[in-house]
Amino acid sequence: MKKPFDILRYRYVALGASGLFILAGIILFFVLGFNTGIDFGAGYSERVSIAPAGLSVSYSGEGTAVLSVDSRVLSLTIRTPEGVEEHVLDPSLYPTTDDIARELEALGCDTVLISSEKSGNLISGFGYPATLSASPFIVNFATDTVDVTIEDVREALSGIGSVNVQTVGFESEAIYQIRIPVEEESGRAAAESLVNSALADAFGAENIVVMQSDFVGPKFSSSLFRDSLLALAIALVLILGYVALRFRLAYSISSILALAHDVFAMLSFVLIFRLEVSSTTIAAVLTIIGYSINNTIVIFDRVRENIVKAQGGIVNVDGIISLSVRQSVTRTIMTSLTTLVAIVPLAIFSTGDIKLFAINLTWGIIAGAYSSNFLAPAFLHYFHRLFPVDKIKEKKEEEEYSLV
Amino acid sequence: MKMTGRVLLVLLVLAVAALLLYPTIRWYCFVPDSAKAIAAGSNEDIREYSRGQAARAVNALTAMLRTDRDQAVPEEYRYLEDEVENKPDEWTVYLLLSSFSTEGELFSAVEKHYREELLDIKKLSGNVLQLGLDLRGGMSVVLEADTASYAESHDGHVPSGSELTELLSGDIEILTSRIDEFGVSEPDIRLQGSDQIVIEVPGETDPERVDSFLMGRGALTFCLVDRGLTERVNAEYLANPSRAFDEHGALISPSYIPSGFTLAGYYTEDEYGIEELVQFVVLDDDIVLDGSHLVSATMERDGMTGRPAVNFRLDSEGASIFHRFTSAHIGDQLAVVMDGRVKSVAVINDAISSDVQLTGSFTEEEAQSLAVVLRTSSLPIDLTVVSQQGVGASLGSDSVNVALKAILVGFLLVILCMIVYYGPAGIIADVALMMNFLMMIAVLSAMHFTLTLSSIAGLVLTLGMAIDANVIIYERIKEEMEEGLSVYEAVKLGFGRAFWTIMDSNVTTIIAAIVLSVLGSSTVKGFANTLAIGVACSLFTSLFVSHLLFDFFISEEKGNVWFSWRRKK
Repeated sequence: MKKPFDILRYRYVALGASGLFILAGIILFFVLGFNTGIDFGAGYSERVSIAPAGLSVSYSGEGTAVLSVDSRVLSLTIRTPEGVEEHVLDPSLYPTTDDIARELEALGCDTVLISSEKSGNLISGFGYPATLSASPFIVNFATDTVDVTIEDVREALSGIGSVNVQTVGFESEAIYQIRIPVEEESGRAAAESLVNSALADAFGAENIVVMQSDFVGPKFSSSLFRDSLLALAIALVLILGYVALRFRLAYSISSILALAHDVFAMLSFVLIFRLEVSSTTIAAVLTIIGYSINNTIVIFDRVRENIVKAQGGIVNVDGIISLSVRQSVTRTIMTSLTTLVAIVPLAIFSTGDIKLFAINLTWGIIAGAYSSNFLAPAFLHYFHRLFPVDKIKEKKEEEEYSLV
Repeated sequence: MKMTGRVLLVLLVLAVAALLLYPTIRWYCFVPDSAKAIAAGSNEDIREYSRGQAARAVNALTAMLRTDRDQAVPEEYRYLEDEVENKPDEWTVYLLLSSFSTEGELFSAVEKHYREELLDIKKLSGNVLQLGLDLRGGMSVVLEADTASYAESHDGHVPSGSELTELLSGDIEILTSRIDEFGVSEPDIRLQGSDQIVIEVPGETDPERVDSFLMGRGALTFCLVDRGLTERVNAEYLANPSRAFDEHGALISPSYIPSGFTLAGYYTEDEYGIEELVQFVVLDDDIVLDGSHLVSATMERDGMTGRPAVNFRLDSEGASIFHRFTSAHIGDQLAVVMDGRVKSVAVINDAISSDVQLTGSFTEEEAQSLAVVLRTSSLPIDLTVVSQQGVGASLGSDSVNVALKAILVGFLLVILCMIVYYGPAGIIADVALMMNFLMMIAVLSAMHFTLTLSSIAGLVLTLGMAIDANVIIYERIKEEMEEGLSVYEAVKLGFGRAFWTIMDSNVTTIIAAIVLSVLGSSTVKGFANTLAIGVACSLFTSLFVSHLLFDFFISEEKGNVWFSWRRKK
């Protein structure tokens, strides 16, 4: 007869592999450190696109006119005491900036055409929805070619000192993330004007579209780090308490050790792949704690049940641990699979923080499933020796319970 | 529990969820976009719109009266019929108008109609599941109390915990009124921790405009009132408010008011939070004193009469200006003007220097709100910007589309996985999952959470995790069936045995989520809230709802639900 798969036999392999992975993380931490985002290091960052100005719009008619944009489609809303009129300038109807300008003129705006572009290439940033006034509002449109490369942006900002420029999304979209550190006592406005005036000198002020800006002051970043550590500690202590109460200390310590592994494995992953550390990384780590403890508890619950069920005075704990892991294996695979299929599309399709978050989670789910099945049973094996099983004390008053 | 009882409970939960979702559904499906657009304006915009509509309606109706007094009332004015006490069988324009004793009464009836409708919509917009700033664009600012500069100007006194909270609530009050004056819709201003204020302004991304209401001072001035002109204007306008405003809701200044004088409205706040016009005041354009000289303002009771009074203190320069002025104008009226609107009018009884007491015929609430007006010209404690984030509106809508697509794909994949692996039983789990999704959305919208990208991520992850409870149960049932039990017995035992496993594993997850929700930053919070709510709802849907669904198909005697597509002999 084929011998059933015994997970505990592979405990040295599992412990060794995990140890090596975490060790790699620790070494990288001391050699390179974390690739910290601005959440954790005071700084100013903005996402810009350098796109030529297509036309300028001003309005001096009755009521107020608001130019807004939704999914690259411009719309003009004119609000008078009679009510509100909305005009959508769909690129399929108005394919070029000339058409847009003509239509806006017809609706009562004054427009000046600056350059002729495809209207589908609308680039919008801050300033929308824009309440039009007598002073012209500039609408920018991208060209079909990349006119400003990342090197050009770096060149333009070279006078600032330590500045970090990255491409966001596809290279052809030419959207750049610019980040500069902020010294103690220096405010957002100073940092912002430093970056924007350097860009304006190089590319012209009317061609710069700021899409997103972030400023994190020195005080905020230190309190965020402190709060995150506190959250982590409190969550661990509460889980430890709950598991100790519902199970026994051996289970509690083993599950916390497995959790600690997950945290370190996540951090090592982030260090090895040089992912940015931000508040979403902390969220991912904490989520995985919730997820992985869930997995571990399901297996431990099985161990406890099997120990109670086992006949005779001497209980073969190791055999039961391995049996319980085997009994739970379909469930482990199904749950990991359903969670992964839910989160992987987010990692593939989304951008920015959420993409990073989803990538972290994907790794965390894999690491969590692994630690629940390979490490937590191994830890339980050792701690059962420290705290030998007493069948009477093995709590399981409620054999079963139903809501109905 | 009996089967009918269980069905009723599930129906009850569904009904409650539908009830909680009703405002959201009404907002997105039944409120016309044009009304939303108008209601999205500030209360001031709404008032101007309502006044403009009322002026138009009065003109239109009186014109109709002149052309044909017996014509039927047009559809758009039908609502006025409900405002009148005597209701004739057949309405004509003449009958409708003659039920209002003055033109003023008609004007306010129309104004009330528009005001109530729009304020109702505005209120509704606060009760629906809204998209967060990262999804629709806007600016969020975290401000921190500058205790160092406070200590400097208060002889080294550093505010304690509760003092600080009080000072910051004062700041919040001021910021709220300033932002409202900028016409920004639904700003969210709240205290965070002990010393921080978070401001979230949807749609607004111009950092300089945000700075201007954070750091700027309100325009508070003291002006002399011209009594003769004031009486004349009031005699004319109060009888016919429709004549006082043009179609845009702006005040029309009569030609007999000479240059050097300005007509202004005297406003108090009504119960809607809209400022209501009480009377008109003609002001001398020369400003006696501006708000920069004001040091503090409090509401107190007059020691002699016990009537509410507003005390304010001026700095030394302001005090000497004020003393010089008041000694020359004893018996005249002085108006407190905030941003061009009169907030209070008082008679100068004495020459006053630094400590000024305003008494009048105001109630305690009015005195309180005047003290607030006076105080709002400067913040009780200065604020520094610790973090500021702006997201362009289109960047937000782009990420919404992407996230929605990802959710949909993830959701469909989860559903598919269950059906492929568990067959017909998988469909039951999917029904439970959909109910879980509905409950989550209902709870989220009932608790006024905004939907941010991170909470969408929480939603997706929770859907993946919620199915876990069903997986545990199904695996258990399959095991029991392998032991040779009938389907009925196996289902019964499976649900029973899985109960504590599911409880223990989910409670630990909820613990982690709650800690995150309490201690995390705002991004993390949104995520943790959805996770906690989703996991809690999944306890109900998997343990109760799917069990009920099984009992529909299986009884002790007959019935079967297959747990796989493969049929075993």
